[in-house]
Amino acid sequence: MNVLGSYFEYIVEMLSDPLLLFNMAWATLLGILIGVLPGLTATLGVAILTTLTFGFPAKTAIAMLIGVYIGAIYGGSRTAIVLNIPGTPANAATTVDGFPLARSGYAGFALNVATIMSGIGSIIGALFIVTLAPLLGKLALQFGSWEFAVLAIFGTIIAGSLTAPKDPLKGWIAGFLGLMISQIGMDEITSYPRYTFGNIQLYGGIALLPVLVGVYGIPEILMSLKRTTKAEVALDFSKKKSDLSYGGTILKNWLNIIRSGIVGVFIGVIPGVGEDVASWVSYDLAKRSSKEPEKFGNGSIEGLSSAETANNACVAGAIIPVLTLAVPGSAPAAVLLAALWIHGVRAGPLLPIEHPEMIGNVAAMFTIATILMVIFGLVITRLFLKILLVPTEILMPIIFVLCVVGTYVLNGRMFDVWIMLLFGLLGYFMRLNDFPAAPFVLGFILGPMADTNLRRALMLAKGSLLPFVTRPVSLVLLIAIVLVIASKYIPKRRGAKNENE
Amino acid sequence: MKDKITAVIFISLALFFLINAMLMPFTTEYGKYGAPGIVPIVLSVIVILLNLIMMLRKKQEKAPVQITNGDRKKLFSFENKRLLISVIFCLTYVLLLGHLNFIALTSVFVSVLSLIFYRKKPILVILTSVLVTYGIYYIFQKLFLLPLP
Repeated sequence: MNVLGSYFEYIVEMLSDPLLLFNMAWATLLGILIGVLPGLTATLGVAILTTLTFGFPAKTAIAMLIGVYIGAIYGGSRTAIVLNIPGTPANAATTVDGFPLARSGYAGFALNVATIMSGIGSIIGALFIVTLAPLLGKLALQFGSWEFAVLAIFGTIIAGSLTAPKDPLKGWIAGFLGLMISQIGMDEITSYPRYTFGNIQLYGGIALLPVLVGVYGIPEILMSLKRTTKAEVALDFSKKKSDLSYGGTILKNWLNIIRSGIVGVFIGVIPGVGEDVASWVSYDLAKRSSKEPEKFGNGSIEGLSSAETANNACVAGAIIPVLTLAVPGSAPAAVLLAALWIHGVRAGPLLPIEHPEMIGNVAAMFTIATILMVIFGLVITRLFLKILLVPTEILMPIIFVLCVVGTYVLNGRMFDVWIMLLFGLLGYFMRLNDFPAAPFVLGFILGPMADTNLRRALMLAKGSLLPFVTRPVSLVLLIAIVLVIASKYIPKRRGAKNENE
Repeated sequence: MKDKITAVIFISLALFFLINAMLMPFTTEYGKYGAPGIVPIVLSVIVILLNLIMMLRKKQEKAPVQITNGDRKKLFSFENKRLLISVIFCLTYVLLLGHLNFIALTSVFVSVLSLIFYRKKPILVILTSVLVTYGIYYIFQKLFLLPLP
């Protein structure tokens, strides 16, 4: 069955299954709510729903998780526009133009433009799942242990560079710390228990979900409870944008929208680099190519459109390597990968062989979730904003309880809750010292892949490292690693020299 | 200075991983390249090297913020106080989980922590805490049949 065939077939199947549609609808709605609440990120939302959908059929659970993921990335735009605080990190670029628009009385227009652009971004993303994922899948089939080992290192390094552009060294340290800590537990080749110190609970390694909830959830809770300043809410719907219709906005921005969608997808494909980077990069590109760059930062519709199109397109981009390489493109996609494992779907190069319909089905889930998101966004979006009137001091303890409960129910043991807290404190410490969380989490996920494949590669080549440079894909990835490091370091050193002169 | 302290902490952690990896067996049934310590050794050495670079680099440190304003100093200690209270309450809650009734413990935790920082409408806060806790209990335990601590 080809991908397009399975895509359309599953759309029809979903539309004729009211229970599945109902489950997707409430998951998408929950996602929007999670996105609206500052402090609750898409990662946390997908993680909590993973535990809730534990007993659901695999496809229903995956569809719901995609719904909550898309919903959360979109929902964050609501808060970004009316509160000037991104609901999720993905909406940071949205605040730049969304909030000035809202403050000048165009809150309704800005919210609806963001909804439409998020919808278009998601549809562009779904198109890329159908077209790009099978191609990447075919390429992944050529991968051997050498390529997977280098890919793990490449992913960690590039995630480190892009998520810590001001100080990539900190990004790399975070990434390699993640890789190192992931070595805890029984090793996959010899079953030797590493760093377990006789503790049976550590034999299976540290579960991904407690780490993700800890690193992303706890620092946010602590930061919010610690903060004493209150944000300004711009819920002013008094003016309508009479000089521009929604159709006119799309027509005027068509090139910007397509470019932002493509940029979003491709940044999503890069391991560990998520929606936040995608929206900033496309915002920057939109500003550079705009005829009215002076409007950026003062309520530019172009800027708002590019940020919102890119972050939702990036969701699809982040899912593509999950399906084809078992490498997550972003943090929420990492949870999605864990959820696929939990439901017995082995993502990676063999997915198109073991589950040939899966790529088309995921694209179909994506499309339906997008339609639901747009409907909810246009119809009941203002209702969600009421939640912003609930004080953070009440919300955060509730979110903490959800983090604890969500982690506990995964395996029904308090050990995971303690692990979550431990990684939460580590995450808080890292955030205080400007270490990005994304490369740490990506390193943690890719650690076992790096470990088994590096040793397998060494065993196959009897200790020779030569195949790493004689195999084309491995060589390309190695060159890319060198270029990424060089691009971050050399200009700085030159710059420093010039400054000294 | 902050980076140097962080580097020392991470280097200590990596040294712990490195020493333990050295103690792992180097001969296995898969030959010496299947040894479980190889990758942890490589990774911990990289972590140590990267942190050494961070520790030794000459980075233009931001000029230390001159706290001349008494209010700012007060705010800083006030924020840390809030942080400390939050951490203590969260840890106590997790410690008591499983030993006390979930609904009672969670309701008390949410309402007390909320009321410490938000000293308005206490009855509404308590009522919200109890209702939300019951909601969580109902969704996880009754609706999705997932056991709670």
